[in-house]
Amino acid sequence: MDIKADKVLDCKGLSCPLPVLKTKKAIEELKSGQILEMIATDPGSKNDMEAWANRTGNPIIGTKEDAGTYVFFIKKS
Amino acid sequence: MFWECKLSEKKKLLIIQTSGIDTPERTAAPFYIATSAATMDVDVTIAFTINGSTIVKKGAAEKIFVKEGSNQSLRVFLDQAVENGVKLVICHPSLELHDIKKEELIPEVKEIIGGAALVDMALEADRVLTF
Repeated sequence: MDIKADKVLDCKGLSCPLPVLKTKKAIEELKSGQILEMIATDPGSKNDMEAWANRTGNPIIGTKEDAGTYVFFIKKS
Repeated sequence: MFWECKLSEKKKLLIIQTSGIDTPERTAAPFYIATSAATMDVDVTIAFTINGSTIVKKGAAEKIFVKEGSNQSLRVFLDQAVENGVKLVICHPSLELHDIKKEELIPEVKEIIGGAALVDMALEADRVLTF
């Protein structure tokens, strides 16, 4: 299933805490229901994004993993 | 008529930072964690005590490099935390311990506290992390 994102955020090469920080700022700029595609290479981002999404109530509606790149589709609540 | 409930449901995290300029490798993680928590709608305070006071003296953070060869000083991570709403406080005896005057503190340190206030903050917090 392909998810169409309203905004793409490239966090490749960034490490803790920048991916969550940039995700938070990007989500703030979206309207409720819009989708952010966040791309990261930090291996900690899988667990970090899950924790972040659970705590902030902005659900991850899809993920992709490919050769050390992690993609998260996050829906703004 | 409607009214807004002012009671905050935000979780509170208190980070106690006891490490200072002599152990640069121990100084950055508390800021990373504080910033991460701030992005998760958590109310975060870092309390500096024991040697922690040495990193909030004016001009100190700029000279701390967590890893040899790193091009970013601790100041970058401190600013990042403060910009995202992390509150910095300091325990008064830790100033005396290192002969630091309150005028020598960076302005980002908002309050000088003592033992009782620290105990109160720890009891009020949902969790306390110590470094």
